[in-house]
Amino acid sequence: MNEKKSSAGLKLCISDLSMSFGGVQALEGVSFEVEPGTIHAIIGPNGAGKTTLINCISGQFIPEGTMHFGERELTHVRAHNRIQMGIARTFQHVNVYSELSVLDNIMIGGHHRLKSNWIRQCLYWGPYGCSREEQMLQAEALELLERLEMRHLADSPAGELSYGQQKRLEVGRALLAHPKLLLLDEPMAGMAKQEKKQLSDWILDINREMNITIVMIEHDMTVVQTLSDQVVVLDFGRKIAEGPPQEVVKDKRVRKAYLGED
Amino acid sequence: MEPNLTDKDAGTAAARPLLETRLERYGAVGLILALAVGSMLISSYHLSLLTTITIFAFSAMGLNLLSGNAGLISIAHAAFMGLGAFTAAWFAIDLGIPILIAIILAGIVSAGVGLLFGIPSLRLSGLYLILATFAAQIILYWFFEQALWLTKSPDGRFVGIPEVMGFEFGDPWHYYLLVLVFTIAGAVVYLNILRSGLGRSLEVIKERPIVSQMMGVNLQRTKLIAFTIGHFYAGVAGALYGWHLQFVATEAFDLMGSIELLVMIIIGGLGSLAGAVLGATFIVVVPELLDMAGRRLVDDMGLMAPIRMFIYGLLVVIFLIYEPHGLARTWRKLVRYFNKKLFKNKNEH
Repeated sequence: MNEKKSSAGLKLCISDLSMSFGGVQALEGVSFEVEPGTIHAIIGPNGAGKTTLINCISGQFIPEGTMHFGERELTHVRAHNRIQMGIARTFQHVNVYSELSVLDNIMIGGHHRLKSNWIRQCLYWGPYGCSREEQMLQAEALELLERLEMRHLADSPAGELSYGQQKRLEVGRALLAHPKLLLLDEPMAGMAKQEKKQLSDWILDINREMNITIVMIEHDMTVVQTLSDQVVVLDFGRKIAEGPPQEVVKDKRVRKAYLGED
Repeated sequence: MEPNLTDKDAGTAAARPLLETRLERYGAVGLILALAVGSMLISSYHLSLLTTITIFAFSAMGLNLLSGNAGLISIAHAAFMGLGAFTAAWFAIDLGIPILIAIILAGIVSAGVGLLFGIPSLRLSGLYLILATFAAQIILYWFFEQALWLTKSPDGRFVGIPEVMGFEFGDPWHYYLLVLVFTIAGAVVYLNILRSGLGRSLEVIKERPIVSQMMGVNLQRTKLIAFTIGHFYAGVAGALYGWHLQFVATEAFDLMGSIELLVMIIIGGLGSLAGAVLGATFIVVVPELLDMAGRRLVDDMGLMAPIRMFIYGLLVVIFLIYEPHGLARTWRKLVRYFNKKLFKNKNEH
């Protein structure tokens, strides 16, 4: 698990991140670093601030503190520009566009790579249109659907898919963005054991073959221990531990806060 | 995974066709021919109705893009049609600009003003956005009554018979053909938008604005594009409507007019071309039928107006409950059914 090829990719540096909503301190002085090419798990009890942290990285919230992705400071980059920098994500609660087809859903992931402006999109055809670009994105989307074993569902409305398929579709949508860093918010939640196994293998593939850095929130400690290189433990908005999974589970505070031991 | 969209990938997927099924493609060509020829044969009264339907179908496309696809509900669309009608008349008659250019310019002015009203609406959604568009409706209507340099009288202005490059559209059939050409062009552009990335981004900001932002869709920009294009349609439609009636009546562009347009796309079907066309047809034809029936049943025609409103209201409620996707959904089911029957083996879609 340790022979990662970390050639390309950018390092994510979170430092002293704080975020509060009204009186609730969701994050307090959280700092950690994610090396390129690794899988980083974030664990912690409910309400520990895990999703808030992901939301800060992906741009939904603007926290105090600094976040660097490579050389660039992220905090004030607008949400829709972060995907261009190579940061894509999935959501804890399934967030597919239920009325759009599976194909359209996944193509949204590649949206930021479309270069045509809106007037060219109105014209569509010809040298001034966007048809070529659309066609290429569609071809790539279909290829990806093939790999997700969802090619036959391309024209179905995404809302009609099963829960597991919707989760997979979300990962696909993020992958079509060609990310360098993929944020997964509880990708395995609500899945059966077999599905979890399949998805775990797949996450490893994404990480190794596509060389995509992964930060994921996960509750299942078995999954965390098999997949992740590093674990960050949050509790009440603070980082209480960090390190390789085998060490983290031995940490006293972690056992107390998370695994419910005294 | 390729780092960029490369030519290598192309060709494995066919481009999306303008119309999905073969039946629709044949149907569209047939409909256009039928309209072009049929409009020559019908009475002038019915031709006038047909022209009105076609113009409102055009206008409804713009509103459907804005409200149906992007989910930005507007009750100011008629006011923007009025703005188009008055500015086109002003460009053509007062400034002597050729009519075709004046019509396009009217669309651009309407789009620009729509964009301006769109900017403060960016942070609003739902009910608050509707209230903001209500304000736009009131402001523009007030403007029509005040800006006499543009509108000549608070009631409106005569625009006379349109003339394009020396050709006078004295014959209503000729004018209808002009309207038809504009509407076909508008329909093609609308379909292009729906099958491109722009159409996708309009749809996704409606369903999940925050998620879409994180998927790389610029929320503000997409909304402003919707405001711009939607009101361009309104402006052009208004200009066409003015010359159709040869009188631009301020009254025609009041709040009721805007609500009728909204009713059109709700009954017709939100977010589709068929929705705009069917809705416009429905809203023009049904009152005609009601009037015909009314003439037999009620002596006092003054009663018809409130009865008509009542029936509109009733229909909207019925549609919202039983067919929230409008006539277009029913239409789609029919098309799919017959497309299967007719092109069983040869059809690729």
